Amino acid sequence: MTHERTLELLDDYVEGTLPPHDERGVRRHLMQCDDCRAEERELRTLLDEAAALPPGIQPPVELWEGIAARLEPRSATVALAPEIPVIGPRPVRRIPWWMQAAAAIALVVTTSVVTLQIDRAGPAQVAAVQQQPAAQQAAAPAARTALAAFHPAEQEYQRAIGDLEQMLGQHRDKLAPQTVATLEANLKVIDKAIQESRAALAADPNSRELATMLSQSYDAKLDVLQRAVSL
Amino acid sequence: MATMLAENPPAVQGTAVADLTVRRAQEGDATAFEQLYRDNAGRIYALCLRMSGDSIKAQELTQDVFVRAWEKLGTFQGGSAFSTWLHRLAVNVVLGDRRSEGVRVHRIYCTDEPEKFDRPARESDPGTVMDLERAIGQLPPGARAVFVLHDVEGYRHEEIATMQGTAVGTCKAQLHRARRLLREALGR
Repeated sequence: MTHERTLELLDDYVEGTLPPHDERGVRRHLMQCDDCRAEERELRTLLDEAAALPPGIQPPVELWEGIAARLEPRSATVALAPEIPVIGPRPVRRIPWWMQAAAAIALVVTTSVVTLQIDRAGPAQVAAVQQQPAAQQAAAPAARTALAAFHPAEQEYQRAIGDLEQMLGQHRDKLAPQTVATLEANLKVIDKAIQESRAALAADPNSRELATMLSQSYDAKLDVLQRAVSL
Repeated sequence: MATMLAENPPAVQGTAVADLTVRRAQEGDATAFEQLYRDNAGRIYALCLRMSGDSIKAQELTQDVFVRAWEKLGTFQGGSAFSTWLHRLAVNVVLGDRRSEGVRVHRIYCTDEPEKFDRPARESDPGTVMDLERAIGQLPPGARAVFVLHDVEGYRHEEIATMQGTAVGTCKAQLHRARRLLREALGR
């Protein structure tokens, strides 16, 4: 193979994408040509340096503020929430069978609690909570508030969360420090969401939407804890 | 889209906790989305900076990427890691921005004779030692994009050609030119 042809094929040669015949030809030429060997060395050095560049470069800290200001609320997704707050964990992936069983039990227990509360409230009050707009609910003092309806379920959530936190505490030292840090960061975010939703619901106890948001926040916390326990 | 993903895509953040954060962001939780930003901003900004060669432009592009990601989060179905999906979105945003810059860039991408569009000789002192990042920043735009995507990010020629709407031969020619210019700039 000629000197010029070797240089022409050198890119593909170092990438290992040449057909066998051309590869043999380039290799043979490299054995005989000091200049082309030097070219090959330099090229490989450049590629090694490129591959070793840091994968991340931190942007200026204020960049997020500009992004946040441009984010449109996505209320359409929230509007898909069911009429009554969903109680219990959502379907999860990569969870051992025994965790799925535990989740099913939790779902049965919490659903039963909600059913019981609805039964106690009576059909008229349920209809009032489910169908009346918030403004009309506020004008009907006899109707049960969304906050009051959610209270028993919240106790169940807190019990389930307490159990999972206890289980997590038993094998926390087996988790990688980075995983623990990520877990804690996520829990912090979720706890903040719970706190804010709880405060908003207390201020507007007839808001079914806020009750749903609070329920979703608890769901999220249960989900994170279950996943962490299964790691 | 799956066929267009790199064989060795960007680092995967495939933890269950990250999955949950994505899901919450999909439900409209801006706090969760901010967490996704914190987890991925460095990699996306690095891509935008290297592809654009301009820190101000890179900040604009990074903002565009995350705003677009927020708008399109509903289409992410978990077929790949979120970080991979986001990275691919970022490449599309950057390339789309370059296309919109006008005819000159379009000609660079589509020509089979990239030498025609070489920049004039640079003014920098040839004896100055330049690090690789700076040298990449001084490449012509077309060559820089291909070098970053192929040699830094690990995309294949076929994928880059598809993303740019060019021939594989054009992509290879741009890469060859980029490598040659970089070695010259680095004094090798």
